[in-house]
Amino acid sequence: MPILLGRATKLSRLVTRAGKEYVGVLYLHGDVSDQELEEVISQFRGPIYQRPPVKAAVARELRVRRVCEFEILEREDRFVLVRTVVEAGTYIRRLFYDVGEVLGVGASMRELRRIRSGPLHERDSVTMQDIEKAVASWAEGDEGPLRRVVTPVEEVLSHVPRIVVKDSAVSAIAHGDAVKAPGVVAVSEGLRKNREALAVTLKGEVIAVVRPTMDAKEVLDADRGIVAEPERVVMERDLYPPMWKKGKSL
Amino acid sequence: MICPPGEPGPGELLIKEEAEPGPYGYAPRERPIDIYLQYGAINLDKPSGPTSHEVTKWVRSLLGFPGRVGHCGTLGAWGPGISQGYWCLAHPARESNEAQ
Repeated sequence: MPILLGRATKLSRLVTRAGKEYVGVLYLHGDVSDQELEEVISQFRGPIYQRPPVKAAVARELRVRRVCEFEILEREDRFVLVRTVVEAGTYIRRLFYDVGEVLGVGASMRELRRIRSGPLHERDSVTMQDIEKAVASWAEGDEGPLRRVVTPVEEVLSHVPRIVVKDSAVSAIAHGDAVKAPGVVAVSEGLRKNREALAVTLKGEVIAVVRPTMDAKEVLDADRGIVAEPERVVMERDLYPPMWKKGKSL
Repeated sequence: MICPPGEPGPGELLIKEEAEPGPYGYAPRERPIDIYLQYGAINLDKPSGPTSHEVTKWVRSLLGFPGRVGHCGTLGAWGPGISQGYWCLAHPARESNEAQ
């Protein structure tokens, strides 16, 4: 479970948007052959329709979610251990239920464990005891363990496209300004119009969440004007000097 | 297939113009510890039992953290065996703000 601290909490929506990987137990309510099960599961790879359950945090509208990977790891009669990688917002309980419907015998979810959320893998996770020990070391003057327990939020957002800007453009963006073409040093190939991206410094620090007004290729060709509108400032305002005030450039 | 699907993924960085970083700011891993924490994320192996909310509050008090602490991933109202947060419902910890 990702926990965000301080300014990083402003990025929770982007962290949430990452794909998820689960291992779960699908329980079949009737007898199904291996071949039949495999066939139906393969039908659920790719885009699927889902309506959020009655008790859900979002509007109950039919929506498309993509299932990238869905495979059987083990099977013991009616208990099927499966692994799946899905788009954020895919209901696994629903997915299993729907597999049962297509099979005609019905199915339900018996157990579920999320093993990856975006780049955060379960095998790299820390326990509350780890945090406790790290804080104790910190109190004794060794901040090393705390730095291992806490990850820079930028590393958790490796799935989000970026716009790298010059040092001279940082302060303006940290004050809520748009990202303008002359300040851009580089862009992620996957940057797309209207799909949230991160404005970052040359050192890789997150400045703000921005909404690009054009695709990556167009940003490269632009020599003036706005390339991304501000959505949410993350960086403190005074970390970089406000060079825009005097019209100086680096 | 790239995940999250439906998203192009960041891909390679395409250089528009060469530039060198100046003497401002810090590379994420080189931030002084207090700033490092402000931009920090914890990949927590949530124990079963307490709710995500309780765990988050506990982390906050443990760190003696002055700012916000929020979790991305809410424990469903399920049986005790299913402890790992599964449906990511993120919001900054408003309660902790009110407490300040």
